[in-house]
Amino acid sequence: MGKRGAIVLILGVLILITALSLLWGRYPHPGFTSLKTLKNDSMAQIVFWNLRAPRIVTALLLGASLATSGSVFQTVLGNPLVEPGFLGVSQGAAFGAALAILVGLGPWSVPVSAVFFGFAGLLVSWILAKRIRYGGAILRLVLAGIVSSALFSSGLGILKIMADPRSELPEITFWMMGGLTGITWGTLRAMAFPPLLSLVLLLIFRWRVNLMSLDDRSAFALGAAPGRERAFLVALCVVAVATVTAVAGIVSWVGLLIPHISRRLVGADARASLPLSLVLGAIFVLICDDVARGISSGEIPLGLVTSFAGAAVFALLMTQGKDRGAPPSGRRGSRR
Amino acid sequence: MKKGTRIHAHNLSFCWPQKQEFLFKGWELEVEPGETLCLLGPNGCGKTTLLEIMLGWRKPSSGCIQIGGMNLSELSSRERGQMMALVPQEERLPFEYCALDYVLLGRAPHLTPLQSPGEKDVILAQEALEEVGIGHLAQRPVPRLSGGERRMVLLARALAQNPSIMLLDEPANHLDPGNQERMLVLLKALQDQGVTLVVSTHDPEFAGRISHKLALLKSSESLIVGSPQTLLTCENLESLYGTPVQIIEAYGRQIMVWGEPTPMG
Repeated sequence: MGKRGAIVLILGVLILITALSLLWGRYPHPGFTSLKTLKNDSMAQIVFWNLRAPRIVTALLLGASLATSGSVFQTVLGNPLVEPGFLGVSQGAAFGAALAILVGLGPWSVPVSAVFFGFAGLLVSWILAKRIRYGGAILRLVLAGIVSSALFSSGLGILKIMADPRSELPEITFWMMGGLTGITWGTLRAMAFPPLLSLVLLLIFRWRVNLMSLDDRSAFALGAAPGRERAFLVALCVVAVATVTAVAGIVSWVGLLIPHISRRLVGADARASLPLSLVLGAIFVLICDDVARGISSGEIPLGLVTSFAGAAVFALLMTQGKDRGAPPSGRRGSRR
Repeated sequence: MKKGTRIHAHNLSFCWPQKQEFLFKGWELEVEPGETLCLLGPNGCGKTTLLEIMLGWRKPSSGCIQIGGMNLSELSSRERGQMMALVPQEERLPFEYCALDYVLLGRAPHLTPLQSPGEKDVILAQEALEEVGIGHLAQRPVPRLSGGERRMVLLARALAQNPSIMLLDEPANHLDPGNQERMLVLLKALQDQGVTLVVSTHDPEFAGRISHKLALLKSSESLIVGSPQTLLTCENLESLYGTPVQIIEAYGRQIMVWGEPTPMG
């Protein structure tokens, strides 16, 4: 199959699943809505246009943002085990959301506070990474990310203890498990621009992302400015991830798993693997969200579905298939 | 024939941060266009650091590097990348890039940040792989190549950069004798093209066969620069490495026998 054939195939799958998702749900009865019902039932039309459609578009954007950022993060930080929330962004956002729920300023304050503290988490990582006097740029960022995440997750633990176990605690817990309940066109309009802009820029710069997988000195020798360019790419990812996380809560595993699948399928070169990650991430989250909203009468948290499906697929991926040979070895990392 | 570029290290000093003693102090070094300079010295004497300073990756504590009459710090990163390439000993590569995509990264300084490599760049990358003799491995993931092949890929990437100066950090180290000879032949080919080479090595024989100029990194105070014919003597090598050495002439070459002589029988 040629390159063009592969692109047509994957986009075809994306469109097909999107169309099926629009028809899938629990109104008027569980399963697929027939086109006839959609034509005659005005309630079904409202469900279709005002509930399912914005939610599905958000799911696509969420998946695309998480997977693309994950792919860039892994490449730029030279570490196949990081995911985009990890520089303190996820834990910071969770802390922010919990704080807003506890203070109780109304539903709009939760995503705003989540974005704010998501960036605060990043800022803590950034300042720490600048000050750690040890190791190369990547190691410092990874260490700082661990510290920042731990700080915010312990803060989150304190908030949970303070929360009212009957009303606030379940809300915090549910937010942390992620979900797209109650997304409207209004929500989507309010949040869509930053992740879309990030995705477009990341796609434009995707060949250069490869350059950043090299250690600092090698990237420098190839005429790059590794520190600045890494920071730029990481910032783009964080903008996308913080925004979608604010709306959807913590949806884990997508940013870790999808880039691996994508690299398996088309190789490491970001020119191919980055766009593929984007589309696969969108498809994966959309299917998971279909399960979350359509399988049982109660909503299953999206984060649970992605974790379960993600872990299962990841286990399969790592144990099945042909041997990929000895693990890549490496000595002499970046210095300075 | 490419025009090599002249390197001038002027009054160069370097001291690690938070350390008292200088790694080197007031060094003066010139490499003419198309000339090959070999750096010889014991482990930890600063060969790699000197290469990194020439690359601009490390800032000297004082003094400056001039590349073709321009101050290194005044060049833009792209100009610098077009002019100068580094062949490191080894490189960490966490992902399975295929050799061709990897060598293609060498085209980066010739492209604007928004550009992706085009057909012409792919052809140049493939040619670079052919030149180092591993054109048939273009689609093989780099982490699955042998050590020798990986070194050749690194050299190919530097060739794709089309530089007028190439800095090589122990290019023949850890290679089997066959690959060492191939590396030597490839470096000679670069000399013929007029590329300026700076090569660090632990092998004085290798240095003797390839260099026009030799620098002995003896101590922070003294850098001895001269022709390999005059500098490759028993006394110089003994004091450089702190071990006895005998030099034998055979087949028109110098062969070094290291250590205390062991009586036969």
